[in-house]
Amino acid sequence: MLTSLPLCAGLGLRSPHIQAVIQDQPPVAWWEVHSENYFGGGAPIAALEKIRANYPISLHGVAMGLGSSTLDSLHLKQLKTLVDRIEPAAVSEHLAWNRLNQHAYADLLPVPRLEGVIEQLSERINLVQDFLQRPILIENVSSYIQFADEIYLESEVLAQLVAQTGCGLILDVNNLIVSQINLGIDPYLELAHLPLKSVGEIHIAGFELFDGVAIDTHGAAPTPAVWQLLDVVIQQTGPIPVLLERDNHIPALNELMLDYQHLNAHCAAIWQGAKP
Amino acid sequence: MNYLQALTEFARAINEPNTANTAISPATQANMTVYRNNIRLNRANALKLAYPTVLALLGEEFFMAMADVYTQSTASTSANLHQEGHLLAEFIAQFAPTQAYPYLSDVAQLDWAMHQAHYADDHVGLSAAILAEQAQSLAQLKLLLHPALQIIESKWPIASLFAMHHGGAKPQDLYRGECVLVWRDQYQIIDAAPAAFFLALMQQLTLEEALLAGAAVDAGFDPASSLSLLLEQQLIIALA
Amino acid sequence: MNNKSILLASAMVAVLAAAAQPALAADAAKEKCFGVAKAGANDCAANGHACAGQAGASMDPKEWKYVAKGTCTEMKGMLKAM
Repeated sequence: MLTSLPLCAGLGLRSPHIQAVIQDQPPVAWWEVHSENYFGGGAPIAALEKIRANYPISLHGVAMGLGSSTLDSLHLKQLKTLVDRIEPAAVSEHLAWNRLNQHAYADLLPVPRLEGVIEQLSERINLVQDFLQRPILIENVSSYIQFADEIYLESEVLAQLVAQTGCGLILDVNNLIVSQINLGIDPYLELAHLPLKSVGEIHIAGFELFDGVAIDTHGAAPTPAVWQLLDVVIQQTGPIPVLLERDNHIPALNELMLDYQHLNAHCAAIWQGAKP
Repeated sequence: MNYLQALTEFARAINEPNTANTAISPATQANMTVYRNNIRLNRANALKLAYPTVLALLGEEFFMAMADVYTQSTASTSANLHQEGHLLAEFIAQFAPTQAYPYLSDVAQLDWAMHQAHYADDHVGLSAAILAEQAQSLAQLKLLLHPALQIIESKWPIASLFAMHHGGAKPQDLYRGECVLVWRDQYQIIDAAPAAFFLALMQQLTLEEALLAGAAVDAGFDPASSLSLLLEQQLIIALA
Repeated sequence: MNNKSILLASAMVAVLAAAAQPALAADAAKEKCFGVAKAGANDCAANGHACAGQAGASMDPKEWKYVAKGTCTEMKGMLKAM
């Protein structure tokens, strides 16, 4: 099983809301956090353990850099410690890289879809899955550039990785729309190549436009194009965990709860209407 | 071009914005700015979270301008943003615009120590009872201390400057140095003798050697309060 | 007693006194920590966005920015001329 997340909407949990979630236990089916924020000990992981006592948790990594020239062994050990303590319902990372020759770049850099990409990534994913003793989900990223002469679509790379490692996928529909605006990719063509059965989780969020470039800030509500793509995807998948992410202009928790309830109702309506 | 060559070229495109690059498709090359800015802003934001006292002292605009120069001149060694900024105190010590604030580099050291202590690994502290069982061989014991524990010594009142930004008053005298013991989310100003005692323990000397190190600084050194602190705060994690 | 024995005796008294006290409630100590949990810096790195809305703009540091407006201005009069 790729995840044990509830098959409904979940929310991204960010630091401004942690206290309130511990105290008030709002009705959210599951929470997703960024794994690296809970590396080490002390107050952060103690707070997460309190939340874990009441909710399923998805650990979503942002800094492993699976496509980097090497894996960071300290990072892997810290993730393993976190996974052992939290017993998460899902563990995920991105199809991205962030380190080359001891030099780290704090962002989700797109992997060049050139000769060697499948071998590089599948070796790393196998290693991580063996180390964690569980499958992980890999997420498509929003991109701002393309490498020259790329030989695969992002979805083709992801499909190969699923086939070769048994990993699952996070499908971020917002990221597809961002890459469509910035690079002209066809989200529906990407969708056609993705093994939807291996999608363990969907992400939606909002981007913001700066000088004509769609920046994936997670700083706004999802756009109509994102909702439309979401509907197409979840009609095909049936009930599946869908995460709403918000990282910028973070609203108060009660306001975010309204967005969450809206998403939950929206998904439920589609799944009720969809034929099994 | 293969996969690893393309990574190398991408890194070069980030680090050398003005040189030609064949790896990135020409139509999207202008967007490399987004990655450069994301990386710089992600790092600068992480510096703000790690150095709250330095940020408050300098103000947002100065701090961000300084963070920009720091991130341009100092490579990240970890992609975990909690580890960003380990060289900022050294940077501040030699950065021309911060020379007017000679205490700032040491304040940065204290901010970093508190930051490190916040995220240090968890360890269960030894109970005093376990140590008491070894009372006969106390002198020759080595006490392994919690990784959050650190000592910062400064000729400036760094703890008072830190406290000033956490509800305290501003220091009365800027020229009164302070030695600060830092552990998880807490700190205490300590005298030179306990500082020598703690440092000796951190260097894995025996308890007897550490006691003598304290007494060498101050003949009247009484280790009782230092040891009580270590035990009460569960900062002794193993014996050797 | 020489100085070393006095030091060791004092250390032993401290250890025995601590051992005689009821153990510190670990939970109480933990609760105190919740109030000081910092904002996680890694939220910024999520999904290729920056936490500030200037991701596309070019940035050049300007010298005029190096005018401190923070609390260090309160310490100015206390610094001796160097």
